[in-house]
Amino acid sequence: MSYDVPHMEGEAEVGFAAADGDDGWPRWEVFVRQGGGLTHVYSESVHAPDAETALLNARDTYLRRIEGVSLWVTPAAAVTAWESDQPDPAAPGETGGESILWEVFVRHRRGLAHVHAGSLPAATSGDAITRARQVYVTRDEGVSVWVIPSSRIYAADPADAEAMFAPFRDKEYRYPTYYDIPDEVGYM
Amino acid sequence: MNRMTQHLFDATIAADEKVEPRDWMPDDYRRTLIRQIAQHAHSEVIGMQPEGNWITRAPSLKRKAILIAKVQDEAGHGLYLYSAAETLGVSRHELVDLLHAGKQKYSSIFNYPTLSWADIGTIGWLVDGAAITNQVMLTRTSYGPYARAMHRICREESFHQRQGYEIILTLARGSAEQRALAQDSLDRWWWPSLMMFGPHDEDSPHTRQSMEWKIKRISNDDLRRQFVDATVPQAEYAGLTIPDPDLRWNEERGHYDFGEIDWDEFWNVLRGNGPCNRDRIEHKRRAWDEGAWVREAAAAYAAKQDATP
Amino acid sequence: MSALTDYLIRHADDNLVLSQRLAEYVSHAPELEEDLAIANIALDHLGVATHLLEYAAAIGDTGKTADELAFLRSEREFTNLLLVEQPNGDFAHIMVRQFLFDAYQRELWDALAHSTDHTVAGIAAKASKEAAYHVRHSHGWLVRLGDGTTESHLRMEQAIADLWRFVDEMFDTDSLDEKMTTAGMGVAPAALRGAWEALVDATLEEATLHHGPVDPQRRGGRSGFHTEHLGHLLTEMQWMQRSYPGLEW
Repeated sequence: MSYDVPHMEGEAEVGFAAADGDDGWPRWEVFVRQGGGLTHVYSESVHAPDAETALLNARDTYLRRIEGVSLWVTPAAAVTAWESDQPDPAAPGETGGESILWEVFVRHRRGLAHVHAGSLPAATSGDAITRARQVYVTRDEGVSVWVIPSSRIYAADPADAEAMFAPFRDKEYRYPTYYDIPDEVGYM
Repeated sequence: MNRMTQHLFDATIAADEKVEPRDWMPDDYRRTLIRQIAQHAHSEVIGMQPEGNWITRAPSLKRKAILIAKVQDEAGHGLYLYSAAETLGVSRHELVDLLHAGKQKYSSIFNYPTLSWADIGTIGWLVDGAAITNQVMLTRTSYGPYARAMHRICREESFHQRQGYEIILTLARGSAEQRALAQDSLDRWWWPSLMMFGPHDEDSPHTRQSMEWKIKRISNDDLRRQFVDATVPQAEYAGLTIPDPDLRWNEERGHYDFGEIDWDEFWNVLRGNGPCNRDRIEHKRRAWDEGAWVREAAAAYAAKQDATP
Repeated sequence: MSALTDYLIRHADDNLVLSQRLAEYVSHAPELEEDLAIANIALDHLGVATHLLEYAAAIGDTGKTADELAFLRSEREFTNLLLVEQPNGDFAHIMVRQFLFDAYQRELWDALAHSTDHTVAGIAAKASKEAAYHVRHSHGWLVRLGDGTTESHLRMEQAIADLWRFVDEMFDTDSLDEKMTTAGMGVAPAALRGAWEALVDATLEEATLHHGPVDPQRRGGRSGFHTEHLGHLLTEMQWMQRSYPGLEW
């Protein structure tokens, strides 16, 4: 719930540097594939000390009302991002190394969430971005590409699907239709 | 300053498109957003307390489940908003520290106590009602992650107001004692609910800039007016009296006229002198401090696993 | 009352009382994500309790509704395990209590999913999925706190020492259990102990924890002989219905 809270004396201006020596848990990005959905969609983040906890936290946070079919989490630090509208949109330059598999997520336009586009091999995040742009990106404005090493993405085990995804169903009180509101009081 | 980036920012705003993470943006735009999103997040989390106060005393199995689910949603909303704020280059931890130190604010409505079960109904009906008025507006806010968080929140919020009003109707149709509980609750929460929309537009210096940047889309007074117009018929239907002798329908304007807010109370509560200000922060700080060993242990365990080949 | 009714109420009481304990903790957890997790588990337990009490009410021999069973029985009429009424204490106590009970619930609901009573089987099938998730969650905390820091390890050892004396009661098998088992509707708790021990022993080992010298075991909950904690819990839980008798909410 948000309101206009006027500025008061003693309020702090918040800095822009990511906190160092932070004893908070790191951030994990969450991707959900819904029942009937074809692909994983970015669902925001959770904080967690490790991947297993991140999966449980993501489930409790983002799958309380929707039928999840698959859930992925990745440490925010594992994401390499590229945007078409950066002043200097050159992909990060690195060299060498063995080829590994990367998962690619694309935000095709401003306003949308990133969506899983596919995976491709590359030796560096820079190469991965370059290839991803060639394969998956058709527009040249408002686009954002994320590449993440596949090995850094943790998925909920399909064997656990029943326990992970089914229990949200029994909680009808989370839906507006559960409540008896007379039409006379207008839209609520 | 790179003119291309300012130009792109201005064009994005003008076209009603979303500004996204890592876009160039004016420092003040970033600062304003961080402040607003953080306040919103803090409000959700603090808001868990007045309602959480009645979970263990909810009067039926159904009401208990509904209330736990609602408070859980509020935790979730805080989480989505902290997540959005983090895309602007701050950490949740930093924002929480500022809340605990009293250096960032949250909505004053949560500085009022829940003194009866009826307050749970009233909070859903009025406080969530006011929040929804504001939140629907915010789904059109210019910053992408904030707008997307607001869409998620609005979908979930749809049961919050309804469950509250259903409680009020049940009381209103109940015994004389239950009706009295409902009326007493409305008497205490009506004016604080109107205060939720903030100062009059002319007393709100940041509104103009926020509206130019399309962070805020409708002014305080317009939102407040919208809320009153929607709520008066709901109170009438429940047979309850709104505690404002100046409230009356203005046929010419097509809106309700209503009395003047007690701005002394408004500023006083904002300054920290409301009934529960101290308790709300103490509760949060204590939970955070008492949980430090848990967070540290989890981090230590994770580090051990990473270190193990 | 019928054996089935008593049986339903006993398992409902376990879940209702634990749900109440967890509900006390919402907004006090170490992180926002854990508040969400605790609320989820509280809702699951409350849901199971509600289904069981509604079924008991539908059977009809108590003459009471589900709400009346929950909010108008005295502590001597509650038949929950002593374990679930123990107060929250610190997060270590909350998680140890939860894990010991979750491991038992998982075995219980898996078995009751095969009950010859159709409704019990249906409730159990859902509860079984929830219990699997709860076990995953509480097991995770036992390991992280047991093998985290020195402080977390010590707190966990203390919690285990405080709560271990409530373990045996979970597996007591009385005449009600025997009657229900013979009818194919229930399961003898003693039969669940082997699987429970396997999971708990493996978890404690992974968590570098031990259950120490075994104190005299406490029991009596199934007969309504509770610890002093339950009375206070019920006072708070039942206050509205007792203060305003016979009204709709």
